[in-house]
Amino acid sequence: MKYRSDIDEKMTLCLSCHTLQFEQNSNCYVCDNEIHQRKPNSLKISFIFLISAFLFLIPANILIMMSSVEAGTLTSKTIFGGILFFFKAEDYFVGTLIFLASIVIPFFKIISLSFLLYVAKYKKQRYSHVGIKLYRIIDFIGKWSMLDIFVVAIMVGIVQFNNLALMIAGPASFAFATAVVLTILAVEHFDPRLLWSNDEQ
Amino acid sequence: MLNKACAECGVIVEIKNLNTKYTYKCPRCNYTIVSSGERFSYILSMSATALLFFISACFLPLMTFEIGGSSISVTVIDAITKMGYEGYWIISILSLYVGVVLPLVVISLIILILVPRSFNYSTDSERAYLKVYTMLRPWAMAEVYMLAIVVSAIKLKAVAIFTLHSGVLFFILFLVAFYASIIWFNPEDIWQKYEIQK
Ligand SMILES: [Zn+2]
Ligand SMILES: [Zn+2]
Repeated sequence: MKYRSDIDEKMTLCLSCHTLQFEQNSNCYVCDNEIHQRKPNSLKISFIFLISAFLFLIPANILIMMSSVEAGTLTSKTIFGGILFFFKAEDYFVGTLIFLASIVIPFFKIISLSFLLYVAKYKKQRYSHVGIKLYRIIDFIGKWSMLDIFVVAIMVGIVQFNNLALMIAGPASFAFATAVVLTILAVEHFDPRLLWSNDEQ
Repeated sequence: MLNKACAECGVIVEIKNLNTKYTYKCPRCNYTIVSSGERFSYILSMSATALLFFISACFLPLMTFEIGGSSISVTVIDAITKMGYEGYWIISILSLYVGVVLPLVVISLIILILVPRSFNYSTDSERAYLKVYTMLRPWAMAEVYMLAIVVSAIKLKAVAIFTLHSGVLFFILFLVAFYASIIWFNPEDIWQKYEIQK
């Protein structure tokens, strides 16, 4: 079966209200949003966000995420150190959760999106179906990386300001939050329609 | 007959006799092309409930800590006003913004759109609200914030003795009602009315 695409029919889909229309208009006739057949400069913008996200992930994993006083001494932990701490305390549930959110998801997203950019850029259409599945996974799991950032913000907010204990957010929290926001922006700017050829059989 | 295009692969799909009860999927990539949301009255009552839960959560204590015989109660207002410090206010503001403020804005937008709609008239600002809604929705991370509260509670157990209060329960109920509202609400149901007009 041969599929007809919007490009074959010289039509444009509005991504804001999902109305299909003829491409001579520059704005959607229903919602007045700017319309393009494909997101403009999708691959370039997505690639820039991806590289920046990767650069921020390096300090995020080396620097201190949170410092706190435990048994009278000040201890500082990196993201990975915090995860190890949970496993040592036999708190496997929280340890696994933070490991998934802070380590697995960000790196999985960066590797997957690099693969998607490769498939779209070099028109490797035999990977279209795998690509679209990966795209949906990384689009869905992206925001869960914010878990540890939220936890740090809540803990520091509650604990520090009621003088319960000393707890300070470290510079890694800023680097990590920036990296997560950048990966979400990279996925948002990627146009999944570029994974497919326009005249696939 | 209705012509639709898949937003994730560009395939054109012709739908003969659209039935709003059905979900239409893309034959090539399986993307959901047409799927109508819930009835406006259901979404509206769910969003109003969410808002009420949030207001209740603001006035009730979230938790009480006990240290050395004295106890301190924390409310949402405390959490909001006392968060920023020493330059790391960016983290606090970012978390609060995507975890709490945006879900609240998104819920308010649904209410602002659907109240006039349930009286069957459309306002000029409706289109602007719909566009802002579509833009902000992906950034509202209420469900992640909910899990963060659970993880924080587990972590706090190691630091201090504390008791959870009704405020936490209402905050979790707010997040659940928020999530239900955004799943039920489909902006395309409203855009479609404009399309028919033109
Ligand atoms: Zn439109
Ligand atoms: Zn499709």
